[in-house]
Amino acid sequence: MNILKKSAINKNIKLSIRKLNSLKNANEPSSMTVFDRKAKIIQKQRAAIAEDSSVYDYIKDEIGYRLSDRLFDIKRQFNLVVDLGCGYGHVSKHISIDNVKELIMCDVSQEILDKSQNPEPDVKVSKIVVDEEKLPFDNDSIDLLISCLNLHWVNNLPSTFLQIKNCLKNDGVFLGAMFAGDTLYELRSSLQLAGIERDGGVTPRISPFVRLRDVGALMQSAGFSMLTLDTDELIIRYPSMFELMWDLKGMGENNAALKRPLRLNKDTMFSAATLYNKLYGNQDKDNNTQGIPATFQILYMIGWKPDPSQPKPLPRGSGQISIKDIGKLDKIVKNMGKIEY
Amino acid sequence: MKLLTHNLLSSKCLKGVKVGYPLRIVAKDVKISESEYNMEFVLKMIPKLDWKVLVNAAEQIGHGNNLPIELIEDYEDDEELLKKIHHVLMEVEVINGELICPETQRIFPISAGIPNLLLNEDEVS
Repeated sequence: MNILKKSAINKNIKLSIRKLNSLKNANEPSSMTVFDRKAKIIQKQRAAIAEDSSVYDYIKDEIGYRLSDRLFDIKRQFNLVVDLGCGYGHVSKHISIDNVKELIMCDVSQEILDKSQNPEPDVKVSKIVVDEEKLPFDNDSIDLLISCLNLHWVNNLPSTFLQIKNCLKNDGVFLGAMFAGDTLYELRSSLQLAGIERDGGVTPRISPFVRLRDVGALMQSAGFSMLTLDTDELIIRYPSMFELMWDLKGMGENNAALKRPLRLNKDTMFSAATLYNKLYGNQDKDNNTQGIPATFQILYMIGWKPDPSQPKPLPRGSGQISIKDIGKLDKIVKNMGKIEY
Repeated sequence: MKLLTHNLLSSKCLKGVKVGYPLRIVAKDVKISESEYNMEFVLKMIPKLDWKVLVNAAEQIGHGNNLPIELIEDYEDDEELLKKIHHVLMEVEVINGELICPETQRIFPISAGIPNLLLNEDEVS
């Protein structure tokens, strides 16, 4: 009798331990969660509150200008536009009434929105505090969605792309720019080498970035059509690694990976700075000063929500000019009238 | 927050919410700011609006302006109606108040004219 009781008690204990373990796992973030979104919001708010926040805008301003240039290439006036992750108005300040009638500026922090620059007065502006991962817009409601340098902190990029596509109207456009691939590779490798040397192992001090081909596949699977992807490299010189890290913090772009180490050892930091200088440091020819380069790789993307009015590729085999005849292009152009379509 | 913006917003990202549209408005502070009447803009926006939602929202904040419950067919020729629509869409602004999810009654605050639609992690579907 006692033996039976004992085994029943043991069974119950085992079951409750199993239950506890499953509950523990349930509270852990899913494999899709790479970034600590709460920490990122706090970092951005802290950067926005700083009096000198505009000093650190140079990268986002430059990319905002380049992205708005791509917007002007689309010869259309958009009635309703959302600037997702507008920051201090890096793209918005370039927008004119010729392109946009109503602009909704969105960011994760009210402090950022309070400081953001509006476009020219004729453009009507609204502002909303929104999380890029959970878009609150109704389906088929927006003509154009712009995202400038904020999607690299999104955990579930496929879901975000799908939400963007859903809230666009048919033939609506998504225009985005994000840090990708080789961004800050010099800083990453220097910190990794210093970590191996001083701490005996590598810790993730720089967040992972997406690759060009991955974004193309994700946008295609989200249902975008007529994709255009291209990359751009921005190399900025700093006196040393410390100025670079200070500026990244000022931009609100400091590390927000979920498994990030909370502090960087002083030894490791100085070692990384020395390695950075040794491996990548160079002399500025103009004023003969030593400095270090920091590479920012920018991925630009344009995707359209499918619509029957969009141009379709001709059926295979319908072409009448061979690619072999590319050398005889002048003759072909002269005879163009004779070709029937 | 203008009523044009409200017309787009939903709480569909909340856990257990199927539609989450339209959000109910509780306005504590409403401001009227004059905006230049642009007939072309109003005409372009009307087909894109959920008309009933706009009328209800305007009534909720006390600016119904005698808007018709159903949009009349030849609204393009009714300048008086177009001006009323322009007023409700572009000139009436909720400065402080709340947006309320119709299904879960979750409150999203509006302060200084900016609605805050951030969700907690445990609220996400």
